[in-house]
Amino acid sequence: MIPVLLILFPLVSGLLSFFIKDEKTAKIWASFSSLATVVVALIAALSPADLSFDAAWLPTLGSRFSLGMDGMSKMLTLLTAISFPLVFFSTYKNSYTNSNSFYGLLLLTQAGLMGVFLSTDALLFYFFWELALIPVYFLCSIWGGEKRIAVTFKFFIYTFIGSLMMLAGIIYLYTQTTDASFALKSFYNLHLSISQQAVGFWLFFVAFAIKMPIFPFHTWQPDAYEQSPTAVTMILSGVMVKMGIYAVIRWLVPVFPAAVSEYGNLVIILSVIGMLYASLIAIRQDDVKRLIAYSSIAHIGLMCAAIFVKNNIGLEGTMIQMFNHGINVIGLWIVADAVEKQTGTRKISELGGLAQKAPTLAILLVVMALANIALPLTNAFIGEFLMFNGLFQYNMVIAAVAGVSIILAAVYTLNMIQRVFYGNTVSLTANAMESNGYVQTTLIILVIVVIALGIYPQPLLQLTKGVLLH
Amino acid sequence: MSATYILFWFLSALAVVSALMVLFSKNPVHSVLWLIAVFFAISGHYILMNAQFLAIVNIIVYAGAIMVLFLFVIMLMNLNKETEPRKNIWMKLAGAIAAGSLLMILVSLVGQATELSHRNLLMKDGDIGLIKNLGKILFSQYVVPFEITSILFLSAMVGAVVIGKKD
Amino acid sequence: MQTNYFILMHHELIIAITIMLLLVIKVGSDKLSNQLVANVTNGLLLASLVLGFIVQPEGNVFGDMFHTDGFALLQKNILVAGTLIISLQASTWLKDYEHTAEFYILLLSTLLGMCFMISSRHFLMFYLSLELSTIPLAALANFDLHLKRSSEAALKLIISSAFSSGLMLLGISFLYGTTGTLSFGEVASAIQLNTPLQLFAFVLIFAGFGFKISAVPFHLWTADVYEGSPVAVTSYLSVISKGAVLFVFITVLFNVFALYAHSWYYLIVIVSLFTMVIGNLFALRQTNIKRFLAFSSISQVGFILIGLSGGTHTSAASVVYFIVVYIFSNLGAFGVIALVQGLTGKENINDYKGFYLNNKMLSWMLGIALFSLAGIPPVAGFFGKFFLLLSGAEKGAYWLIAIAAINMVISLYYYLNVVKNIFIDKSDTSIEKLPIAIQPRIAMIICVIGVVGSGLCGGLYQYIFDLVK
Repeated sequence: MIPVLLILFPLVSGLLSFFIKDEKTAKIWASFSSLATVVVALIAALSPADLSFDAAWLPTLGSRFSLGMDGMSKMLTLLTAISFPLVFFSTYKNSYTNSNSFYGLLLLTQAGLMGVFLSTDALLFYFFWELALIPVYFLCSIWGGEKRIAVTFKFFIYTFIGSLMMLAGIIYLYTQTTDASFALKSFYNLHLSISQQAVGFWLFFVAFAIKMPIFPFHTWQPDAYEQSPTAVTMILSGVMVKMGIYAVIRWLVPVFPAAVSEYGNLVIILSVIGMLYASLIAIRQDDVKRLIAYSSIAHIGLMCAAIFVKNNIGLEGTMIQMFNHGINVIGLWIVADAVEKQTGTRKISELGGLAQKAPTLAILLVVMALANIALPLTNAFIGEFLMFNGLFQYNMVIAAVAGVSIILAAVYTLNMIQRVFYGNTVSLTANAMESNGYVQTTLIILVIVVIALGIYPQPLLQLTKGVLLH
Repeated sequence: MSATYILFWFLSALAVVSALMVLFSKNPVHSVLWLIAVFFAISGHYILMNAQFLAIVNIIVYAGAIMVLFLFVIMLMNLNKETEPRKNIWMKLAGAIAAGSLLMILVSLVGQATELSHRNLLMKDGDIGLIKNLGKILFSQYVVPFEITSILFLSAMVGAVVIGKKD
Repeated sequence: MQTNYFILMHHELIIAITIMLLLVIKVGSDKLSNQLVANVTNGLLLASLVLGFIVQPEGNVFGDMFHTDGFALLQKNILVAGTLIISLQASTWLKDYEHTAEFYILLLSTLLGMCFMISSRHFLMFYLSLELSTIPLAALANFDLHLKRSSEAALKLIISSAFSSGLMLLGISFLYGTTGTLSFGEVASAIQLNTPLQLFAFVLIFAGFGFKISAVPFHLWTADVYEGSPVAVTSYLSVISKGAVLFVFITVLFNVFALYAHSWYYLIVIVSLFTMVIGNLFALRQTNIKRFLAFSSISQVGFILIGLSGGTHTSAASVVYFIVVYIFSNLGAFGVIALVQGLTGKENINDYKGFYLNNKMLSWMLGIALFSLAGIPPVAGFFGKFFLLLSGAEKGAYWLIAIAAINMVISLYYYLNVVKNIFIDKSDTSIEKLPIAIQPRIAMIICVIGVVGSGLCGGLYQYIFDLVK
């Protein structure tokens, strides 16, 4: 029953949120309901056994409403559950027109995300996959920046193309199953020839690659991140891209083992190219938001590559990095938003000396930034270490090339800190102040999580251990 | 060759030629007159098939009433001049090719339809087309379609009244 | 006295009684309250609908002229429910209309025709009921009496439907000539393979159906007729009359021409491809929202044909399910459009800019309906399309599924464009807050529940599937 609650809580509270008239009530309602979801997610994560739920849905078609929760699902539902209240707190002072719809749509997104991480039935999975997308379309195109309409259109059409390819793939696999079923187990038990696997592999992979995004399917992402309202950007980059990675681990690699061996190399090379490419572009970015967006592409590239090396170390690294990257990137967005709020600009060239005006913010940013370049003692270190280890075992050359991106990450991250927070104040930063208490509290919580998981990553490793054995 | 055959071919030729004339005459009044000739030819066919009632009804209703109405309309609207707008030559060509292909297919299909080759029309049995038999079958086996037709006429009338009254 | 007749034909009888009642009322009284006429009709339709779910007889009357079973009853119920929704939605327009009683008489005659058509097991019966379901519609299309384009629509509809009936009639007469019978069952057993004339007869009948469901290349009448007709008639044409013809199409294809399955499979696949692509490409460039929905409904027919191509129970069930969903979604969209057009006269897509600002409920209704038409979860349209594609895939035509998927993307583009106009764009001349009367409000709530509920509740598909068997 717990998996159902994880979907039901945000779904119901999201729908109810539309009926709230008052802005403040909407905020409080959203915050409390998301906290309730965190409690449920924690209970789920702490329970030692795998959880599942199963009910009849479309019996003639062999589709069931079945949810399953192993370690990876537990971790990602926990991430989804935690990130929403964090987002709500950090943007508590932001004001939105029609805020009831804004929060309602966000909560619906959460319900969709939860469903994606929980479903063990292909049709249900697709259903939630799309459910998570639609509210985001409205969120971005109603509350986004100036160029929001065109950008969101591109984003939506892009991901929809991917989704439909996946749908075609699902139908294809369904017709191949012996028991005419959409269940994950039946898909695992398929005996497909190499060429059949290749078709299915590419249909699924493109859908997931657009979502992650992997080079060369990434073009929607920086624009979408830049134009979305910050709260949505946090969800997009913190949680939503994990849908793609999760789906690769759960729905792609085990279903098409032969095709993965066949095309794994190609995917890894694409990912590594993407890492370097995104890092190089990030160095040249002047806009803080775009910089974080490209840095995110680089990180995702590494995670994707580490899945396809097909060894347990890389996979384990990817899994715990999904969680850590979510936490870190949300922290970075909060800082970026705080900077924009204080100074009215996101251009690095127009900023400087913020540390003199807002020392606390600066310290918090530095910790977040260090986590972004995966320094030891931060949470990202252990994940990146494992992933590079896996990559190294697979192919030294590729690992070495990918390693360059760590250096590049240090370059652009430190450069950003240097130019935004240190040096002399300029006209725009002269009147800046510390950001409000909500933002600071959220960031402090995040920093504590970052350091705690950096020193003691055991809980995450424990959670994902069960998944690796299968 | 019996008289029936000769009559059949004559009526068929008359029907086809008149139909062509309907299309090709420039004057709408002539078209209508040729159309009446078509109906007469068809009625002749009905008689050949022993469908006397149908033949008479066809003449009375179509050739008589409806065509007279047509004539009235055409004359009242003063359409008897050659006012037909010129159509695009390509459209004409496309139409001719399409219709020609259809005709070709039709002829070849009927020509090679083996299932038709031994079927003769029931002509000996003379009473099948009589009103009595027609009425019997219409009110027993075909009573539902008959009633549907009546509702169809009713609704067509209602529609016509509404549209006709609009000014 | 055989009570059997009354029970088996209860849909038809109630509708026929309603028609007669309206006729008597209209003839008998000068000053007729429109509200009264509408209420009486709606009440009787509702009664028929309720009765349709409670009394579920099965059997034949009048030889093989009239056959009814659970599946036929379901189809009739769907049509009656759809007509009821349209009637509720039209009340804004009909309130001050001078020919309300006539409107209902004609509308119900077509509904009667459709009910008979679904139950017919004889080509003569089928043809007559098809005519009954189209000829009054042409008169209805002209019911915007002062508008020239409405007359144009009526004329185009009557001519195209006469032409298609002609084709179909030619096909039926060939069929009669080669088999010597018109009964569905006897024709089905008399049909042989490799008889060109019968195949040609089938092609002609197929073309006749193609006209009625406006499949490409028989679609040319659709856009002008939809644009010119009053909105209520447009929605009736695009949903109910199309649905009814498709229901019969299922019977004719799967039962009568079952032997030709391998031939009509390719015919349907090709027609469905063209229908999807051309419908979509034309929908892309429309600015009038009624024309837009006309073309989008053409492309929806393309998807339905994919489902039909499967040729099994599953595909029959998926088509019927899709039609249910399609009725809810399309009527949801048309309901809003009817309201806007009735109160403001605006019917361009650009007029809907900033619509959300003043009309929240209507915007959500239209938005949900459009998302459902685009086939995006969680609304029912997705499940409808999904089942269609699934049954199309049963014969292994994966390339067809791929093309359908591409078309879904294209269609998403234009549906989203309308959604964008409603929710996101701002305009100085956006439509004021519109008052919604009680009847359209009920219709709208039914549509929303239908669009959302019929997808999530898997039982509906199961119900249809069991009846098809």
